[in-house]
Amino acid sequence: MDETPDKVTIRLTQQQIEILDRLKHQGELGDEYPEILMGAFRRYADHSLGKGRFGNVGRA
Amino acid sequence: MQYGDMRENLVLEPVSGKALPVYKGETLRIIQEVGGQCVDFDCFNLHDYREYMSVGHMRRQGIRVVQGDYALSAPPRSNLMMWIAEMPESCVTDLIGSRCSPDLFEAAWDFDIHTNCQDTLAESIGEYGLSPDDTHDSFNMWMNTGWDDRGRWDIRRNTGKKGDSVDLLALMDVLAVPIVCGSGDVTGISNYSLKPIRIQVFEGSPETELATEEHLHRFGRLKNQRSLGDYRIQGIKTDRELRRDPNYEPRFPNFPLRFEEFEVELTPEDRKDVDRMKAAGKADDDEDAIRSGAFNWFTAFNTEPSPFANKPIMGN
Repeated sequence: MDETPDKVTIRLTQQQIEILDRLKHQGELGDEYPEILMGAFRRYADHSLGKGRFGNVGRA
Repeated sequence: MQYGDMRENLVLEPVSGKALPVYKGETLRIIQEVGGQCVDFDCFNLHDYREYMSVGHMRRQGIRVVQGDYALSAPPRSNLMMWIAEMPESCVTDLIGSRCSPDLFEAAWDFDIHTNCQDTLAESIGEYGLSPDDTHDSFNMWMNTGWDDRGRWDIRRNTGKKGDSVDLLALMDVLAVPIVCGSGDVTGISNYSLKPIRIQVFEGSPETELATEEHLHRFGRLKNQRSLGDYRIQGIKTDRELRRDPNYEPRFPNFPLRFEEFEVELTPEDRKDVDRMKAAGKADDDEDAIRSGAFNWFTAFNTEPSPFANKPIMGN
């Protein structure tokens, strides 16, 4: 089994970073940009990837 | 809401219009005198005609504004102009259809001239020294159109009934321009007949003045609701030819863009979700999937309700 961490490099505009700063200030998703971004992604996935009410993009 | 005294009461015969001042805190009422008549509407800042209503930006509230929505001025002014205080369900609105114009009737049916909203608006605002080029796309009331996903439209029966009325509360001093739409005898937009409308203006009252201040307090305090003093070029160009200024340097906002990079670590569940997005055509690569998903969530759930901001739906 491959134990290599599954990492992805993300490039954001400073304007997108401003939004992460706002989320950081709200305090719900974490303090660091990676955890805030992944927290937002997981919420999207919960709602949109067949896990919630917003539609299904491929889950059986 | 209790209005002040009526100070204007006139009938606009088909096909005519009227430009008339409506001052902050006053209410303009547009009434179906007979019923089934489409009405086109435009308005200007009474003290600066270069600030005018933008139906394109009003569409952020939806392509069919309803009671409680606003008439907004074009950016960068982006001000509240009027509030739809009353609007019956019979008044289906349309912010896509623009305004009918003489070329339409010539091209479609070979009319040398046919009544049309472009000319009626232009003739109405001429009373205030404005030219035909100063007309804008109109806020269409009692215009029952249908639009499909490909952008094609159809005209449905006008549902306006005699006595139905729309009340617009002025949130600034405006030159309001309601007109009788001129297309309705050869299109179904007014059920193949042209009818009069009635216009009334009510003075402000303590209640309307309080409501006005509440609307302005809620949505009239953005830093980017700019005024003439914010402009680099403040004059109105009076010659018609466009000539390049060789010394001009544009100042685009946040240009050039600045970027920041960092790494995120995916759990096995994240990896499945990222791969699902790519498989469904919702992302081109891993980075795109994470960025698109995260900001899709943010824009759907962290956007303050405002007439200036779209109402996004998550799921793309």
